[in-house]
Amino acid sequence: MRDISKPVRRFDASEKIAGVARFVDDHYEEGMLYGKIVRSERVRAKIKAIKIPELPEGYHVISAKDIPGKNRIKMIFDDWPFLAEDVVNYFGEPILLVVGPEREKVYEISESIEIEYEDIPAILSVEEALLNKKPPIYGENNLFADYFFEKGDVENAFSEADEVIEEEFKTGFQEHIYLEPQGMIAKYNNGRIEVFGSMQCPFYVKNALIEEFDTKPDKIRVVQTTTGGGFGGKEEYPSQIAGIAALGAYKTGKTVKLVYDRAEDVEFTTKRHPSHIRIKGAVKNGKVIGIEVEIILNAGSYAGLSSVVLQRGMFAATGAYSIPNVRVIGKAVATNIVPMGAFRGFGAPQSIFAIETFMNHVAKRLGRDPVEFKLSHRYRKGDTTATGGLLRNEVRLPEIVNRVLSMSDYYSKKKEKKEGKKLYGIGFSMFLHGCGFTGNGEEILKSIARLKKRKDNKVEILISNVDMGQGPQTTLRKVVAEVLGIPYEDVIYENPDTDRVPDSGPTVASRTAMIVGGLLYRAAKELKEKWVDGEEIVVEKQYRHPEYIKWDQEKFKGDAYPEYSWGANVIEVEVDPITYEIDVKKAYAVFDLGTPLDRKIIEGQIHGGMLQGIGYATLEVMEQKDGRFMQRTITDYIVPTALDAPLFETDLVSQPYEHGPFGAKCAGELTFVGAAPAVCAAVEDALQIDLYEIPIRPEKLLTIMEKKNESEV
Amino acid sequence: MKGIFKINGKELEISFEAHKVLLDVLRENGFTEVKEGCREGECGACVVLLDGKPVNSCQVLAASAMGHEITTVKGIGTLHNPHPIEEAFVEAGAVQCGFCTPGMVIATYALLKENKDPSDEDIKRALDGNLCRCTGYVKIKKAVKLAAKKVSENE
Amino acid sequence: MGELVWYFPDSIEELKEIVQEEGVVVHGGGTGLLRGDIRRYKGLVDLGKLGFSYIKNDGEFVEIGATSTYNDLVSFFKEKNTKSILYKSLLESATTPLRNRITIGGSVAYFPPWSDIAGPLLALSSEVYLTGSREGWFKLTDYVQSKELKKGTAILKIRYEKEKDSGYSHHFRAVRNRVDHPAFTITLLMEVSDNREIQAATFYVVGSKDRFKKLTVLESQVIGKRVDDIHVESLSLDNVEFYGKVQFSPEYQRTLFEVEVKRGIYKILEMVK
Repeated sequence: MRDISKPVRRFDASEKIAGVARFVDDHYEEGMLYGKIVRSERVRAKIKAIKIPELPEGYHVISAKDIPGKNRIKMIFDDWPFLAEDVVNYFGEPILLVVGPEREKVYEISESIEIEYEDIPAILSVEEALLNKKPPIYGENNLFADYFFEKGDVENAFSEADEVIEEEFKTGFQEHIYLEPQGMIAKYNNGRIEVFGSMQCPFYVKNALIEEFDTKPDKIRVVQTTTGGGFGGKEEYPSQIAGIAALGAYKTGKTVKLVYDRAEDVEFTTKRHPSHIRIKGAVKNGKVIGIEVEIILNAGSYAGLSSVVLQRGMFAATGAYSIPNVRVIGKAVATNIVPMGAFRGFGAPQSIFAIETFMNHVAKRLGRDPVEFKLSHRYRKGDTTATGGLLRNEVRLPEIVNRVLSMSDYYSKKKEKKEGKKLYGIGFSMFLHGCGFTGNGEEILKSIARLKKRKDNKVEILISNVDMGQGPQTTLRKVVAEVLGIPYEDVIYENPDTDRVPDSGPTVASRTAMIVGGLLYRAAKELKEKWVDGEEIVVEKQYRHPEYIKWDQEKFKGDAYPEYSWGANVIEVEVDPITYEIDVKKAYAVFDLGTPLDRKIIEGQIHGGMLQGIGYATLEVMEQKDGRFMQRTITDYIVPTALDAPLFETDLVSQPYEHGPFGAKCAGELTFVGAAPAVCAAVEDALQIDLYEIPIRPEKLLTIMEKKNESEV
Repeated sequence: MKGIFKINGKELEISFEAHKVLLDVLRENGFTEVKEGCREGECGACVVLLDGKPVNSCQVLAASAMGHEITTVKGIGTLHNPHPIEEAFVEAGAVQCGFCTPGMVIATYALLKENKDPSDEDIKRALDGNLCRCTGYVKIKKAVKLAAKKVSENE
Repeated sequence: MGELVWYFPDSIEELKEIVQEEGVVVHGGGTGLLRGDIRRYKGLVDLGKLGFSYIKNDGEFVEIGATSTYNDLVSFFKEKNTKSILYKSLLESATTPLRNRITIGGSVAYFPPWSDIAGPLLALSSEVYLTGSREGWFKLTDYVQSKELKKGTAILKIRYEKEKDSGYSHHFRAVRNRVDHPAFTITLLMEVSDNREIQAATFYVVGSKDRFKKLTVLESQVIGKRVDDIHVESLSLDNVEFYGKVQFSPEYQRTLFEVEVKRGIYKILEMVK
């Protein structure tokens, strides 16, 4: 039997490297129309009138009035329209679609459309939204979600405490900057709508279109085109683009291509929720025995997936620590900006940044070594999580931490600060990530994976999960081939087409390898038993949580996730002693993500995830002013380049999960979550200060250090 | 306006609008291996060789490229006959979503033509105009080193 | 509006005529014109056929053809003189593919506040050769501040006295990461005699509120002094102000300026020692 972790040649690599892989904008059809969205120029307003100029032959303007079914993008709530009708709630909200045969003419027309607005007082901050003095954007009080859960007796813990420590943390916006901008191509053929494009969740798009066109499932077909990166940005957002493009195709009967340019993508698509997190900890006998965490997320103007982002953030509120008394309060607040959405980590990065930095500060306050302090609270097998779930598997944190400390030579470096013109700092973080859809998500999804053995004995994987660079078209082939004992090349896995594949759920939540891969593993095992050469055999498996998983979605009690992955990061920085520019020099990481399904692919996820996390903590600044983002291009919003990337050293500790294929757990988001807190700890170490906010900007550090120096004089 | 463009060794007469950039002229004439990532000259997905030098095709006015040698990734290797640089990228695990890949290959090709044994710093500088959001650049830098070896061995 | 017209003159005489037409602008191959819709022009003149991609180093002047690119200069000086301020300032400027397109002529004609070559060319007291409605050598400082000199002219070449680049120099870019557009740049040139006396000091900041400024207050405190007598920390600075930019706030730019101009002078003094 081959070692599943042994790297193989990626199946999609040859086409990508030769430049023949076709992304959505590479598809062209004679007679195709180009689309351009006309967007709101107000932050919050009533649309009073729309003046459309006379249109040349072949050019059309499409509005919400043209939607046959519901003008609501199917998400969790029913508030987000495909195209704004009476009111706009953010600068840039789509109002109309212009389509026509020539791109530049379409552009010209879109610029010449005049829209009359009547401004409504805009809500520009979470504070303003909570004050609720202006007409609310959602419900009665601008709260998309208002959650709460408890474990043990937090009030008692506070009263018993030796010391109560309370701190507040902030995290900023983050934009995905997948290299391939968003785009969709829509066709209307024989009464069917067909959509092709860059996406993570073909069935999310299909379900959204079924409601938009008030039609039957067999009238909608969605096909994923090779996708140039997603990171969550192509989870729910594509449903809006697809819906708008499809409307264009429906109205004109022609193929419509709607591809965003980068500036449009940077300014007007979903981003990571900024957060404001307050943590209050009860310390007794050197341990945090009780904790209250309040998480406030800026959700933007429509609910989107904010309620689930908040849930995951809340369930990650205590990080990798076993604290007996817990209270977590969470709010997802509406403001008049672009709706916030899914982004690698999905609420957890915000919480992990807060809890890691908090524990770091508490340790320093108590005169303790942060690593030792954190380890003394770490989860063990048999512990209950913040929601009272059971950790049934070994928690290999001591091994993970020891390995990363020895790899990085952490203690000697911390003691003997490197001498030089710059200030040297080293920081540590320890964290977890819940595998699979949060809470009752997997139970609701009831994912189905199918294997079809063909007469030529090749086996096709039929699932709705996509490869957006993270490698399932290679790793899942390996899983199936290994179980069946056939060559990898005999397994087929094409970009999903909803006409051909069952709904195995979205490509999110780091679930593709563990959950869907697990289904494929079991399907392959069954297929192996039933195998007959030369015959066509189909095997399907549907996901159910292992029976021991108990979860109450109302009270948020029980097993929020069936399994967890774990990690520890150490990061070294150099900080200029006067200008406070930060240079991230080296990053060390050890992860337990179960059995790696391909070591090279996993390493790629580690390097990419960590660098994105480093960007989140340093370079990636997005600010909002009067309802508009100040950084609207990638000249302004910068992401790490080859010159910014630190050196990496990584290792794995593998605690297999019995229900993951070959023991695999979740990986995609885990690799992102720990980097930002480790960078923060390193900068704190370099400057001997406490920080509470990311991104860490040199000018903020300057202000903090000036204040510190003043107070010391 | 009309002009002769020499692309991957072939001369093509192309009709195009005078204000267009090379990126558009290439993509609209079948060279979709040249990607549009930002149109600002920041991401490098559109990088091609112009007279052997890497340039952002989104920042080159097409008319000024007429008569010059343009090389895209398809002029370096093909699906069934990949260039050693391309083989190196695949072996090193440097391809994830693939969108930055053609630009990275061009940048590497230009680097190795000038410098057969690039240092880590040389590699970082040669790739400074190519963004990648997936890999953290680690395996890409490894791929360039491996490519340098392969190219030397080939000669 | 008709289609944009391209001209590819193969003689200077031809160029002279075309460039004086209304709505016609010169294109050397750079990226400046692409900011904004290029169709706002009636015609573009491509200098490609005129042979101005050279760099000449023989004689009193260094002469740079207008269509030379940043990388042309970097390669040239890598071989001839890595101490050149142009080498130091352009080596890290922008990115590799952009350095292959940004031209010296284009940078001078456009003179954006984030330009890495502006400071060095100013500090070197450069001159630009114009043809068209005006003909001959003009001071760079005059050209960049005059609308009249820009109307109907094309830059053919730029030159500076070789000896001006023979002293000590330092270039600083205020950036968030190495490929960022600078919020501002500082260029410092110093000539030191054999007996360690500072004979000349030319200091420029580019990207300030007044677009660029010669730091005469600083210069006056070092000219005529001996290297060992200069106490960098106690030098007074010119009053330079900055607009808020996407990279940094005005206050932070001011701090960065104060710190880095002194660091630069210190570095140069160290080079002498």
